[in-house]
Amino acid sequence: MAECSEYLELISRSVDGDLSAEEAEKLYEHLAHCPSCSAMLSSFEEISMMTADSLKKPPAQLREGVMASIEATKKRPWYSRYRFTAVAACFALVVLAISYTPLGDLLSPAQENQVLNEDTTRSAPMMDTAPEAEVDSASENSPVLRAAEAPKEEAAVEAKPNSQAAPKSVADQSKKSSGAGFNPSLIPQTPYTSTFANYLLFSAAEAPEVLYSITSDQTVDSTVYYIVTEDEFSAVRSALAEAGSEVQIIPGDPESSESLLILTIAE
Amino acid sequence: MQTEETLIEQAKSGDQDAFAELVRRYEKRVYHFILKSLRNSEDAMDLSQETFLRAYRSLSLFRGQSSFSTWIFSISHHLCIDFVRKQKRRGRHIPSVNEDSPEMQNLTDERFDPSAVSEKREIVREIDRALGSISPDLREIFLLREVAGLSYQEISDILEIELGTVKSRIARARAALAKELHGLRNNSSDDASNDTKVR
Repeated sequence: MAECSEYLELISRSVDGDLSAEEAEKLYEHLAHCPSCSAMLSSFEEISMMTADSLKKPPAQLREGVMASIEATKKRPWYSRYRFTAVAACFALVVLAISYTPLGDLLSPAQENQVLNEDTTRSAPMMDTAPEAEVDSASENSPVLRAAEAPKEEAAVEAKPNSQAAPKSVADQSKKSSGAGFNPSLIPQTPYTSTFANYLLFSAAEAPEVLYSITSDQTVDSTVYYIVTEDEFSAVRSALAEAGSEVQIIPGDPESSESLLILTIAE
Repeated sequence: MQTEETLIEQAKSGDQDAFAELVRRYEKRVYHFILKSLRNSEDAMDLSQETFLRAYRSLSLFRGQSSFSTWIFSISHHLCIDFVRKQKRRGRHIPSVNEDSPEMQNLTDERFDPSAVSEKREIVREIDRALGSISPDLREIFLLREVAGLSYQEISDILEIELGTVKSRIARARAALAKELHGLRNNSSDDASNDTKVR
């Protein structure tokens, strides 16, 4: 019967105990005269019960495997825990060296301050939570260090014609350049060979709740990487702006449809 | 028994036993949610472990603004989506039935006599087969409700859809399953009747 279609949702919600007293009364009044809907309710209840009943304990190796992986990361050599600190110290030396050499002309004063500030915030010891499988691609991939080394690798990056030497200001960096190219030297080094439209760097303390719905791609040492769509990037950026968080947004390849969130976990 | 909030705080401080207890409390639901989504035991094991490892790595991000269930199953949900996308890119399809799933093996229960076990196993198999026949959207929301045990609000948060949509979609999922089951049972009885006629 066509009128039974309006009871379908009520029947389903009754299985979940979601009906108000009024709704329950309305439904059971209908069921008393409708064998078809009564059969539907029985069917829904059977499906629910049999599904719940079929959920047996999973294999023991599930939990064992998880805890073994976690334990393995705890047992890494002591110097690997401080690898990032050592790298950050080297980076600081490199930045200081650059600022007092002609190579310092590559960076505008605003960007130079940015890099120095980034070094300060990232020099603290990092929490060691990376699973063993990711240890091998560790400190060499530190985005902070690689940003300083980027000029050496510029030749390896495919430069677009008419690329700008440097963005005008920090505030402007979040806007994509429309086909005018981008400066690869500003892109932080990541575990990825491909480039992204934008790179957003922030700390765990600033992570917005919207991040919960985005699955990270990988974790290297204490840096978590998220590959996100344009919509997801906008959502995270908006959430961070609303919270008044200090973040760094580096424009990348405008041809790319994806952006990269770089989250640093600090202890 | 410690509360979930206490365990989470302890795990954040580095207490592995606390995290192990969280895994113990969620492993059944996570594993079966992924198993029924992907219909392969090995993949379900891999992604279940990955769910908990990712949860552990990003535990510092969890501040209790949503439930831990929402958070864990949000991770599982996205892992499944990514996995299916990768499989499709490789030209592989999600099987419609997982005949060798552990749940099929574990249905023997001393409380039941052999015929009841057999009947129960058949019903579970039918539901599993029917699940493979309905649309992915309906299957997903059914699993979040019936296997993950999430509330309507938690499902709404994970899928980012309206609460009303959650309720109507769950109803449609159940109706689709009931219809598939009815069809499967009718086919079975037709086969049995044909066998009788042949004899």
